[in-house]
Amino acid sequence: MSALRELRRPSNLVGLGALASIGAAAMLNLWFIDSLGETSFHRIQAVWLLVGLVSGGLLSVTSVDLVRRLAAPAYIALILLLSAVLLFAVPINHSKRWLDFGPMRMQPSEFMKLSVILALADVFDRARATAPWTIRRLGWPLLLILIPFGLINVEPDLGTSLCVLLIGGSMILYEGVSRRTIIGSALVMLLLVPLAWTSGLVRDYQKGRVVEWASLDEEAVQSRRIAPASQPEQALWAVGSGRWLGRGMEDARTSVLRHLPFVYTDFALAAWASVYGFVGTLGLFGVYFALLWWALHVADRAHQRFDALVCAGAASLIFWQFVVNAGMVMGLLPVVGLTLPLMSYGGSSVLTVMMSCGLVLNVALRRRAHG
Amino acid sequence: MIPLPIGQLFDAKAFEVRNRVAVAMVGCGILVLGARLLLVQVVRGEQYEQFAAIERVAKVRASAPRGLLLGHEGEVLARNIESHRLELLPHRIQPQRVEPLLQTLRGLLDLTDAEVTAAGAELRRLAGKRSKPVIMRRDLVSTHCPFDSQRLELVAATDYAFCQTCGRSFEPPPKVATCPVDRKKLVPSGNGDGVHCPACSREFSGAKACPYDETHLHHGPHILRCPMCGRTFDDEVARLRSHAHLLPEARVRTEIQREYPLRYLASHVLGYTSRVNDRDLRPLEEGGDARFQLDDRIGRTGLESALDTLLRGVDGEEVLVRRRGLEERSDVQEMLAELKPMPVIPGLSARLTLDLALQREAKTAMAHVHSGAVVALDVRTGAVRLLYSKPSFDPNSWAGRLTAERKARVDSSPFSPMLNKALHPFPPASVFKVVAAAAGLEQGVVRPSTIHHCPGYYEFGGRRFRCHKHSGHGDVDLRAAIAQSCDVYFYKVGEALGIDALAALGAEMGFGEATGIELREATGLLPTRAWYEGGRGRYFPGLSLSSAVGQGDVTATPLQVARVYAGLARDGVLPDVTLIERFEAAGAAVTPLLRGADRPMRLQAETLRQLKRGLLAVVQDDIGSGSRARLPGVTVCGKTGTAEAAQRAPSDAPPDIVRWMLDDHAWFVGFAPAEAPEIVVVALVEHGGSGGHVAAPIVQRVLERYFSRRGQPGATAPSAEPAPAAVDEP
Repeated sequence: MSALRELRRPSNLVGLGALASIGAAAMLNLWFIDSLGETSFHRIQAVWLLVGLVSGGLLSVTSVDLVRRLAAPAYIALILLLSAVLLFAVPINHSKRWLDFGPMRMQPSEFMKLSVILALADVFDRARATAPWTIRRLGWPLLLILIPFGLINVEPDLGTSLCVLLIGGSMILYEGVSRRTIIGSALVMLLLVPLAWTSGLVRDYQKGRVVEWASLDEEAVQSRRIAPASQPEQALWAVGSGRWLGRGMEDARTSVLRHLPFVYTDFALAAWASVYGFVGTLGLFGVYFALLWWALHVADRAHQRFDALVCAGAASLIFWQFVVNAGMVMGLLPVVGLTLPLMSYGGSSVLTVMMSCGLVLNVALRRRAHG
Repeated sequence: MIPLPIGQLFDAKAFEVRNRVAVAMVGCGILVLGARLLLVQVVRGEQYEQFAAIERVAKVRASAPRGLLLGHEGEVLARNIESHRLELLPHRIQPQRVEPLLQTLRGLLDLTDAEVTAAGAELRRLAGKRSKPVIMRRDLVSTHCPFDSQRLELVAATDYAFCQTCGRSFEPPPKVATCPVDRKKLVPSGNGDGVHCPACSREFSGAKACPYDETHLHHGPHILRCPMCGRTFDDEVARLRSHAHLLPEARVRTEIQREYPLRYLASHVLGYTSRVNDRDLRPLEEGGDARFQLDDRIGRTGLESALDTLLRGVDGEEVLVRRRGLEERSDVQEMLAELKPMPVIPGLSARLTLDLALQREAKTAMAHVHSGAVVALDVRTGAVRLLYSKPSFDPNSWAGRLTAERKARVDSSPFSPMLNKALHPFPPASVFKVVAAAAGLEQGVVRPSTIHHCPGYYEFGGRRFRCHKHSGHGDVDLRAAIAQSCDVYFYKVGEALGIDALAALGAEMGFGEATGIELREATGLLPTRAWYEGGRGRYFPGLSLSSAVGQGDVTATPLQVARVYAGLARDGVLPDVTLIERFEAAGAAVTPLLRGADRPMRLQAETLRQLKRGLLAVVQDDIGSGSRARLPGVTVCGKTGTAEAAQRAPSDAPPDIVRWMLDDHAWFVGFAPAEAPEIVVVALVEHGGSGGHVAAPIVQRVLERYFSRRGQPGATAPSAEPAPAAVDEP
């Protein structure tokens, strides 16, 4: 069995070990968060991790042909689902994101990220030409990115839509773009940002978060007339209170975390950082780095453009969610509703990450098959 | 199956570079995050840890304590006390819990069957529903006596028995057959098993059952005693609080309530406060006041209303910090200081000019009359020493404890208890004759030696104007006319002067204008020819005759009269009237009150001398009408007045009220000592009869009180004497 032999490669062991570590950390963290209140997120998350493990495992052994064949129908189906979300979903927190399927709720935008990766990889792979790509030839890929971006953005879900944009952008850059196109689009971006700010495309609550973030420096915190502290402030204080080695669970339990909203989803890292401190959190970062290194390593060893692109896409998915979420919790970035891969509670998110890893594993296991 | 074009041109070399770049970028990203983590957790960690220790920072409204109202010697006239009420929360009560709950409460509080039944019905109706709390009992006993607001003192437990049917409390029978509080002989009550005091209706019984309805009595200890009335109580609030675990559906709410310890004594001066209503809470644009919040109290009448802004102070903010066990650190203190809570500015306390000894004397002197007012001014300063209006009301009842029956009783009273009669216009009658006399002297219409004959009436314009002495005064000069209050003399003066000259000098002397007192006052009326012709029907010359003797349409308030006579007493300078001695903040006097200036009457010295001569004769001369105001050792000047004020009673009024309303208003104004006047006192008895007979003795008693105290060295402090227990309205 060549696949088993491949699995035993050190790089794969590193990657899968990192994934398992993150999963374990997620369970530990959610178990701790559940002890703050009377919640049971860690159990549900465990179920989702198992479901993710199965679907990721299945994806890892599925033939790449089938995956590629399913890319286009899945993409179209998800676009339809996203439209259905806009039409039928019941708003939760002023945002329509979830579709109800009986007892389960599904967030199509999460799976859209994965679908965009596959679709882009497929489109690039089908193209006869190699890099560098110019803006004229990038029409299709850009369309594939912008349609879901637009649909998710009007939900409104700025975080996920930006994530789709970041993943797509990363994949395009990874594929290779001509220098003129890069400079040109950078200039266009610079022009678009103020335009989006003033034209109402950026909603008021989003502006508020940016303003909140901008006022998050030390002096502002001290002189603010607070009652009570804002969410990012509390997150920042929770992270800061971890110090070098963390407060430990008993101490952290009675800390600011009790009053931190969304500590089980978007602000899960704040709980981790508060309990395990700088050392523990840096360790977690290291584990994430190991996972990303593995994905890119697999991409490096891939024998097909599609494989490399899928791995790079999966890596960018995990990377951007990780960076944006961690940056947000630590006050580097404004509050954007992006989850920390696996650590944040949420079925769709867990499934998406596990399936991306499954795709990477798929590539890793097939490395020798074609070679 | 269409074959997929797998294995496209693949430049592995190019991808190798990209992968390295990608790994480098991922590494960079994580390094940036790690650096940030270092900054947040290690560099600034200690500070954030402090912030994180603050569980909650909240700014809440902190109410400013309302300023006190104090008497001249510092006696407390209005203060703030806590009042507790027991509320039951319907939404927390299940229908089957109503009965056990009431039984529990019954064991803790003395509740009568009727109270329990009523509350039970209300609770069963509302059980489980979200609705306003059911108030089980207001004024729970805790620190103050519910009857006279005295602070309760802790005593050894005394046994008492409570009847749940009639609500009476029975104390153990005393050894002697007299009431331990008022020493009255006790009389048997009910079936004879107990005795009670006929004066204070305190009940004593050692029996197992109530002497009235044979109900089995509920026995218990009482540990609080009121030093004023001697009643014993239990600390109901403490009892409820210590049994809170049995009463999850109940809560005790505390509110600050205004308390007026002297009850009826000066209620028209003090006024009362009550909780803001919907009208007060209207938004600013609808004419409301943005300052108020739901549980605020607002002054409604009297000084509580007039000085509301000063007494109220300014509400501020309080920073509430709930923090965990970490030690206090200075940067947290700095952070809290940076929150800049608005400071609370406590309300100013007002020290009034009222002399409570005089106030009590006036109250006693008026005990036998139905309705009226007594005012005393310090001639030298215009300070109000006494302002009493009868009947009075208990502001404590209005400050939140007003029952519908009580309000109905007051509203339907023919004697208008809420009306401050000292500031209400009445026909001044003969006390107004000083205006006619002064105007006559100033205009040269009359000289001190001018003699008119009084046959008991004066024919004018085809009408006979009667003198109050129907047999006539005979030949009288000005002094005798004032002393005997001869109407005919002043009819003639008025005829010669005309109504406009009278009104002009009346205004000059202080009638028809505000006195400057801080309370809302009526200004009275000085009719002129123009006033009659401008909408009041026809003017005819006879009106100047009635005006000259203070009848017709002339009205003046007792306070105005007091001020005018104070002006005469201090040689023609009208004082600005005030009730406020000074304002105090934290015991220290603050910026003196801006007061209106004194105003000269612009009367010639000779005129004043002649007026005083007449006023002195009123009291001190044997022919005078006010001889009942005479005081041994002090010369008193004064003037009587008997105003025709017959009013038609409402058709449903009882016959004694109809008769009462037909009688004249009795006036007397006096000042003393005549040589160097110090105090002026006005008494008005509404429908009281003759001024010389009814009002003069009241003034005399007040003056006597004033001078008796002044005569004793070191006895000027009325606080030194025991407060009479009889502050209740009889």
